[in-house]
Amino acid sequence: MALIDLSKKEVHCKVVYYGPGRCGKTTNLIYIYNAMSDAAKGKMLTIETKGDRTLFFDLLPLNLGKIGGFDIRIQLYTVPGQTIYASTRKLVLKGVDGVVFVADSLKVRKAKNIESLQDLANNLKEHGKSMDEIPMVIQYNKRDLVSSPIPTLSIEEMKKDLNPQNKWPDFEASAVKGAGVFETLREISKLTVKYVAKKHLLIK
Amino acid sequence: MNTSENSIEQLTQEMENAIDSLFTPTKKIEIDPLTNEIKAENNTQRTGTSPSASAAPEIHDSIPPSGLFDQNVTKLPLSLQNALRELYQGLMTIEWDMAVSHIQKARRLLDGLSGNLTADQIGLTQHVMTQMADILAALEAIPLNQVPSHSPKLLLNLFEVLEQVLTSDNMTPEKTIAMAAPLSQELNNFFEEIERIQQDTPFQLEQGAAAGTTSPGLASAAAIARDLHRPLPEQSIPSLSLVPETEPPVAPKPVTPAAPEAPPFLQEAVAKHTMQLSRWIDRLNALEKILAGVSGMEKLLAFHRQLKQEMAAQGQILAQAIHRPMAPVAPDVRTEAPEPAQPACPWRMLARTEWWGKRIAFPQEYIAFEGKLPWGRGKQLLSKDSLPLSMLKKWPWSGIRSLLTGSLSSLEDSQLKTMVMPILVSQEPPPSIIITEPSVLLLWNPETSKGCVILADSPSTPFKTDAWTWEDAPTKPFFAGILRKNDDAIYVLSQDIFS
Ligand SMILES: Nc1nc2c(ncn2[C@@H]2O[C@H](COP(=O)(O)OP(=O)(O)O)[C@@H](O)[C@H]2O)c(=O)[nH]1
Ligand SMILES: [Mg+2]
Repeated sequence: MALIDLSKKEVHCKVVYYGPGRCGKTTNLIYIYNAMSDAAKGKMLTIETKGDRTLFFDLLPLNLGKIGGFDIRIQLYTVPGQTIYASTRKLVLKGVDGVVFVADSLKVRKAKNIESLQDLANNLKEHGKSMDEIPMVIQYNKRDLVSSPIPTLSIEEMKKDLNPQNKWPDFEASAVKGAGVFETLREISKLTVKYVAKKHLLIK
Repeated sequence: MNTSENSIEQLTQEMENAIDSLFTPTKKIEIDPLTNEIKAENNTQRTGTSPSASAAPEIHDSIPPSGLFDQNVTKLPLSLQNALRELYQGLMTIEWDMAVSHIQKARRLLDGLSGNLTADQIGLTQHVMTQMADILAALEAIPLNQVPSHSPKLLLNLFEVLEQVLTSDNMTPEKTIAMAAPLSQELNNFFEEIERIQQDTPFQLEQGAAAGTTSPGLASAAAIARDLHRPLPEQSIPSLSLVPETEPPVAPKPVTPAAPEAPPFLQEAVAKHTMQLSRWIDRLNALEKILAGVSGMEKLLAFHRQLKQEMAAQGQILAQAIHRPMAPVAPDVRTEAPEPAQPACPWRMLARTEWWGKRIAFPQEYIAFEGKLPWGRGKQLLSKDSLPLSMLKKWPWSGIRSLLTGSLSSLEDSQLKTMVMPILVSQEPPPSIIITEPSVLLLWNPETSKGCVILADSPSTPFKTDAWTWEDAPTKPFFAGILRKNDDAIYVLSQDIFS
């Protein structure tokens, strides 16, 4: 929401983990929540959890503390992947300041990844934003499955599908093992706070 | 603050440093993709500070600090915060999926929220809350495919006002109305649209169902709404009259001694079971109403009706079997001379409470409502001689029917809201201790279709009468008899109270 309250000196940045259903968005947040020290993390909120883990969205507030007199918070959101929640996905993108696009390495999800990225582009447009403007990071998740018998996509293939011009920083990850999870988080956090600071503080 | 390029540069550098140092893992964990269980690499760390046992921590006591939710809300008591958040989620759910179940849930949440408000807050928010409740009720009353597209937004806007009202200082009801004023045009449009829809489609459902044009699930809300004003067809099923028809007699007539009797524990078990059966039937009735309005559900509806009939029949069999030895006759206590021989209590089970400094008892199945009135209204009753049933409602818009049990709850809200029940007043001098907030007991006799109200000193409890001796009390007004055990006496109400 980039809710900057100059009187209270608070900066809130909203980062959304986007991607097809079951690609591992919630798992990213759960990993972060469980592996991070208590100093910076707030309570994780998982809303309307039933069978399908994220029916609504998950929220994990993180706190950077006071910097330059500003209280800086980064809130991580996930969106539900299923098509029936299309309008929730749109809603969660309202006021977004940064996006992590989580792609699924499973071969069977190839089309879903592409579809979801397109969906993201459309939804951002509806909020008057674009993927060219807003900070974004791509995460190729479930890389641990590459060594398993399950058919997976190669990194080259995924890059070609999702990041052909190398526009966005991208990371290989395994959200269940934790590889790449914090790398992704740090990168998107840095890009986002920089973006928010430039955009909002400069004008003031 | 200095907002030059340089200071921004410096600020972002500091933020990056903070991110590097804070956003790092402090422990190595692994998540099981199958069970989602979290395993710490080093097992001794499992008892660490974070809730590592559950993969999807469902922590519902924290509020999103900002963004989707007003920050000031954190000033409010936690229970109210939670109620607000739940309502917010309910409204968001409607926003993303307009379904009857979601509308109904939101109505319940709105009701629930009201329970968390102080008297002052109720006064302040009543205006907005009423609007929200009216919108939800309207949405439930029209076919879903005709719901005005701006309704979810309108609800969310009203929610914002509600939140503002609750978190602002120095609020007055007038200020609330002023806050909601920008929405008034839209509200007017909304209700005009609803009215038009209701006029346009009064019989759309039946026609649609007959012609097979209404898609399943679309019009159930409209059906429920219309059912409030029109009885359902096929009301011949003896379901609701089960309890009154089969319960023990209501006159102090002794049990026929010659008849063989089932053991008391068995009688009690069967009595409980028949009660439960009738409760289930009540629920099936409610379900039936919903199903009756949805095309495509005819089979399920028929199945439910069948089930209900079977349950009712089963209840009859049980009740007859257990009560036959008790030979219910002679319902009029006033014309019946007391038996010279030692009479027995005509009821196996009664409910008892304290009233007017006395212990009194009555058949449990007469209880149509029991509890305190909302907003401490019970106090007002102490100086009144009747209770309009509408006083049972917490909110002007909530129904009465859902508050009631037994056969009175089979009446429609439109009937119930016009009903006034007399408050029973003893002819004896008032007791020395006066309870300030009485427990209100609404008794209803389905046979005479009459009821009365007892302002009791305590909640009622059921008890078995077999350990007590019975003494007819024909001269006392209100009482059919007295149950005695040692020095204790319980006055059993007679049917006179319903006249
Ligand atoms: N093998 C493997 N499974 C993963 C990984 N990330 C997530 N999963 C599993 O994929 C399933 C869906 O993950 P979830 O986070 O709920 O997906 P979401 O719908 O994107 O939120 C869960 O069973 C996860 O344990 C990963 O990196 N590797
Ligand atoms: Mg999820």
